[in-house]
Amino acid sequence: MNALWLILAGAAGGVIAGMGMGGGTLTIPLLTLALDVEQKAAQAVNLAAFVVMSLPVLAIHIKNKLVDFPAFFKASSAALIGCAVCAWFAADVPAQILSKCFGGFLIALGVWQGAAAIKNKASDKKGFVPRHRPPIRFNCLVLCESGGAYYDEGGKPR
Amino acid sequence: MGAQNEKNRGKKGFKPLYWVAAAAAGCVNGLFGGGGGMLIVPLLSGAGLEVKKAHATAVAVILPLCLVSAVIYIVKGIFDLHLTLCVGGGVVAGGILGALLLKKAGGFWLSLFFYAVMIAAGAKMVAA
Repeated sequence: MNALWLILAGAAGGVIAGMGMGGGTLTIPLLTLALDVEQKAAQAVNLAAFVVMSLPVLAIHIKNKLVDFPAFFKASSAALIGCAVCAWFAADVPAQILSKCFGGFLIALGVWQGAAAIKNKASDKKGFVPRHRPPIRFNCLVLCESGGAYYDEGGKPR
Repeated sequence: MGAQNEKNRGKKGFKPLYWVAAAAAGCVNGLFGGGGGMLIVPLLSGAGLEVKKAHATAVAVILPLCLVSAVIYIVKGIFDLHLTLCVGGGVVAGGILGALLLKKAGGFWLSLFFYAVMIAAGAKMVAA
């Protein structure tokens, strides 16, 4: 496998990760779909890369007092048990089945997060009141606000 | 009042459901070698952490998970040194670049594009 392509694929995943959008979810399919890397090998690489990359990031976060330790201990204790069991189990699952399951996970995650982003955007606009009265109440709804400032319940202009 | 509230946030909001969800996120991370963070961040937000803290704490939660899974993968013989060095080097360089490029979380259209790519890649993997 051409080392340059591998480095580029890693960099693409890393950029997304650096932006805080979940890099592993892009690095793994990039490696398996575009570069024919075996599913489990791609997963192992992603794990190792995250460990290396997150150390300096975490140091900065701790220094900035952004890590909530009570929440960290609770979440990580439960997650560690689940993780260790499943990682042990994953090694014995055929790569093709693992790959299909990961695909399903990606679809679910993409739909869920995409919907959340759209919902977030819409609620951002809720507090917005246009400076001039929109010509019909429907325009207010398109702008994602009730139009209550300009139209009454029946849709008549105030 | 404000400081007290802030102090108790992580403790108060951790209901039994969150333990189950955290274990499930751990399972996903162990099984797929990633993706746990995408579940831990909303979980921590749901437990009452503000966005920045949820992201930072999620990194702390995921690090031991990845370390443990990486060791298990190596013990089980799934490890390719050449692959890891090449991709890992790229990831670290890209990560620094990404963090410098965009200090705040991605813009609306960029994240929508990213989720569309995610769904397309998922569909291709399921169909393969």
